[in-house]
Amino acid sequence: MRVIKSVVTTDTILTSSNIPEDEHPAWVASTSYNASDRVIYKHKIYEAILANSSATTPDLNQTNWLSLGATNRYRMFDNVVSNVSSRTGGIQFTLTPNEVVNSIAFLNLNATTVRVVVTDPTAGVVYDKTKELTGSREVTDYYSYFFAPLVDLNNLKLAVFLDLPSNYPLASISVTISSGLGVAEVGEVVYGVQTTVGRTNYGTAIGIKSYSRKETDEFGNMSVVKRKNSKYAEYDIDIDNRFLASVQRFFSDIDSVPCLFIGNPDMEELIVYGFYNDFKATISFPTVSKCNLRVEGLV
Amino acid sequence: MTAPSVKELPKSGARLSRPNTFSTDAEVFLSKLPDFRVQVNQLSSYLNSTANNKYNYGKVNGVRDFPTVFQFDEQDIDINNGSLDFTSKLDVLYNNVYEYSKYLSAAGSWFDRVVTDNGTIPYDPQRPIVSGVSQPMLKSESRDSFNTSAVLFNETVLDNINSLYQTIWYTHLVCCSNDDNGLITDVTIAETLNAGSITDTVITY
Repeated sequence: MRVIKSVVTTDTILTSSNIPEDEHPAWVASTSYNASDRVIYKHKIYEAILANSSATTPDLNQTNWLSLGATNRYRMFDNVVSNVSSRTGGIQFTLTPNEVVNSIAFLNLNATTVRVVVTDPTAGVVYDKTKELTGSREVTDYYSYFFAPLVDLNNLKLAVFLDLPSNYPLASISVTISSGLGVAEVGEVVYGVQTTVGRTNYGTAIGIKSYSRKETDEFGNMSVVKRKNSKYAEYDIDIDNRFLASVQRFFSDIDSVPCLFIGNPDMEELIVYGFYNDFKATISFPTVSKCNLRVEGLV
Repeated sequence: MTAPSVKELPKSGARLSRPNTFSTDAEVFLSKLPDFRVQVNQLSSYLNSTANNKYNYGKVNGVRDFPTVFQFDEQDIDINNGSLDFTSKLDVLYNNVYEYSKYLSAAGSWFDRVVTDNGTIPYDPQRPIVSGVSQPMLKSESRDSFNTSAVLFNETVLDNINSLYQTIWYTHLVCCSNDDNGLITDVTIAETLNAGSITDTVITY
């Protein structure tokens, strides 16, 4: 069981991107805006609720401005997995966190390959790996080869790189998300230092929480309003008693911080990006504690 | 008798490279396999029962060409290698079966031309035997039965492809070759055989 506490992406970290940030003009103080005008301020899109020409920035002026979320370039860093950054022909960007990063994960992908290259200013390229996202996990025998429906599961929606070198804190991380000539999409990019908190056991439960609204009227007619959903997981973990105190401190530290929880890097279903709700450890044996960790995924 | 013809199969589905048309392609391809199997087995039986006269070199202007047939490396198609590998290999296998079907009738016609040119003999023990193809998997079968049929069909159709190639190759070798030993590049005869003089005038044996 590993947990990646994500680095918050800022202008200084995102040193290059091939996604333009020009959907709307930048907000300018004391400019006259009409209702429904849209502007960009600090990588977020705002829509004017009322005609205004305020000098107060849109993020602090909720009377006049409505936030519509991150720009296309920054949607992959906005902590909303379902909001995707997209670009026809592939996405390329470079991160220079100026701190140790040994893991990077890409969620809600629509692409064929993801390539990560780590370049140190003095040592040069120290890491270069590509993950193929095309799969066919629904094919389990000859029968399913012919008859299993071709669904989105055909492509993996997630790519995790957990073996970035830890000894190059000044290195830049260049990412290329390819999809041939089609549209490449990525919902969230999570990167940081991974912390191993224990061993995931059988008994771990996963699920999906639906936010869709289903109402049945007095005549039995059902109306459905489709909304987003999110993953959740209840991990059953064994933790060495020697590390229990440090694990407890770690969970205290990441309270209300979005993190990537990786039950098993080879099992997409056990990877959840979100907040932990509850962490409970029972010192069951002299050397090992049995722990439950409930994680709510972000939509 | 002439070689039975084999109708070209429809293009096989390719789950990985042509996912958008896979369902339709695969279903049509699957539905044509039983007829294909019958026709291939008829052609295989014909080839096995018709031994070319390898002692007759045929006409000077006889058959010298080689028909389009191919061999296909035996592959370990094992679901335990991972579904991507499994799917990829099945895509390749069925595409090869489709390609194979395109050339079978022409290969049979070629064989008939050799027969016309060289004639036949009752039996040639050296000639490879073309193996038969088992009953293909049917959509109407249960999942278990379908899987069993698919394993057998895949193995036997692969053997058929390779053994038919070997038979054609053998036929070409013994009946259509020009015995071309290549160019003579050494124009100087350096050695002469000197058996010496015969001194023994009495030959006893």
